[in-house]
Amino acid sequence: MTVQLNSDKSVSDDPMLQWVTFRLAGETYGINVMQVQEVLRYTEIAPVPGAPAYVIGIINLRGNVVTVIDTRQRFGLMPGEITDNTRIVIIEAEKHVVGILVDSVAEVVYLRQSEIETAPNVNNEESAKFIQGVCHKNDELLILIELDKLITEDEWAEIESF
Amino acid sequence: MVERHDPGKEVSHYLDELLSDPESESTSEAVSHSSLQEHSSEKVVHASEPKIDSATSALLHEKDIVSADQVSNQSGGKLEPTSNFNDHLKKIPDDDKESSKAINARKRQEQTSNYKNTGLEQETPGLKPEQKQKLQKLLNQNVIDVDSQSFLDTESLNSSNAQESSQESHTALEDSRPAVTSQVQVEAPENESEEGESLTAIDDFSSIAHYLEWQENGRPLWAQSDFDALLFQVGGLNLAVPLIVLGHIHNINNDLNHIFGQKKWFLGLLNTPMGKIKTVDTALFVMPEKYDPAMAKDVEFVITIDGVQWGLAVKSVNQPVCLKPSDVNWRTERSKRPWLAGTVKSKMCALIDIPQMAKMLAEHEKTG
Repeated sequence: MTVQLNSDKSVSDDPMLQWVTFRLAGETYGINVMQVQEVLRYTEIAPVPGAPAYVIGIINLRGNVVTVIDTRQRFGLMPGEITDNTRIVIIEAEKHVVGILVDSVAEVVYLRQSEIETAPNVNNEESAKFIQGVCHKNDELLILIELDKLITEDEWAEIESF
Repeated sequence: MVERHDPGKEVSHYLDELLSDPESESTSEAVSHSSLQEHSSEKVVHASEPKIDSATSALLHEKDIVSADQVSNQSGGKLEPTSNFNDHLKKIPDDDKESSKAINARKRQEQTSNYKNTGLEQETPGLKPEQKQKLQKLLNQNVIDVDSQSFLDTESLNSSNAQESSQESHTALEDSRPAVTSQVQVEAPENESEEGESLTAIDDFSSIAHYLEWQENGRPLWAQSDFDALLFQVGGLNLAVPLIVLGHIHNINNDLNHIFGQKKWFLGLLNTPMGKIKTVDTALFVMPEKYDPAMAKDVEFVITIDGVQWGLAVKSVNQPVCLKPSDVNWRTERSKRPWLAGTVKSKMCALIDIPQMAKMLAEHEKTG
């Protein structure tokens, strides 16, 4: 009985998390599955005049207007091409719904909290704060993204004014 | 016809600048070029000598126990194992399904164990105390054997070179050839890269902090007597680093992961059996004013720094050489390029103060 309790305690101290992984500029990134609403094939994105550089435009998702973020631009990466694998991942962050454009969506992986390592902190760019941690899984490095920090409150206000 | 872009040409004069850097004015111990040649002729390793070739070859093929083997050879067989492995292997039943790899692993473990048990203090009277200490450290290391990763233990190079250097003659740098020419199969240590461990928490800079000290004679602590240095090229620039706090040499392959939002000289994380190595674009770090992005594509190896999870990306690695303190024009004023210890005119290369560079990298990470 005591062993069982200890076992339960260790599991609760080290929860198993699910991450949706996607590819961007040759690297693999992970986002918390609980924040992912759906994954869409690439569809025409209507540009919005006067929008910030990190906003590609808007799409119509079953009658709702959803803003699509240029993830490469947000992360400070080089622009990429749209391919058959390109996807728009609809996420919920800070109670807002937004789409992020990625090169492709790979899979869902299970990670224990203890498996997540601190990311290097040699940053001089704002974008570094988007990284929650890194993890080595299936012979590749996963860069875990903290979606809640992807867009600030001020930026949300700006986006919602479209 | 399209000419291949050679970034090395653009920085060829950079070394001249370093060599003529007013900050690297020679100290009272500096000697003329011809004198340098004369001084170094007794100690510096001949890159193409058969002995160093065999040592390097052994390192490349049996990394984990190479130090023990070399010690055995170099100390006149004083460290012979206490049991015969052929006999031991004969005892293994035919129906035993162990692979040859498993047998070799067992052989190595027992051999290493025997070396440890032999006791360096009694069995190596010909070695200097510091050499004994290095050898003991090597023997105390875990036996490692990995399938998919390659690296070369520069500490072993240090040890072997220290022994060889007293017997070998000096040749010019241009005669040297890459020390790393093939992949090395080694095994990861048992407790390597515990998952969930913080990358920054692994760094133990305190272990090398004492090497930062420079003495009143204008030389760092690690250069108070003859020292071994590893020569390498990056971006057309020849550089030398003392082996004193170097870790391993890893082949980059495709294992380097770019992390966005970091400083431009941060190439990414290299996954190795020793953990994730934060890799520095050496060319950009040491000569940002002469940097060409093509240089970053040329790098093939990462030389790690002992005690911290940092490594320097380099294009090629040459044989280590033994340098006398008088071979180096030590810098008197080091505020501009703290990582530059001095220049070695006989080798036409800059000497990196690797403990200082490790400190700089650690500070960069601390301040973000």
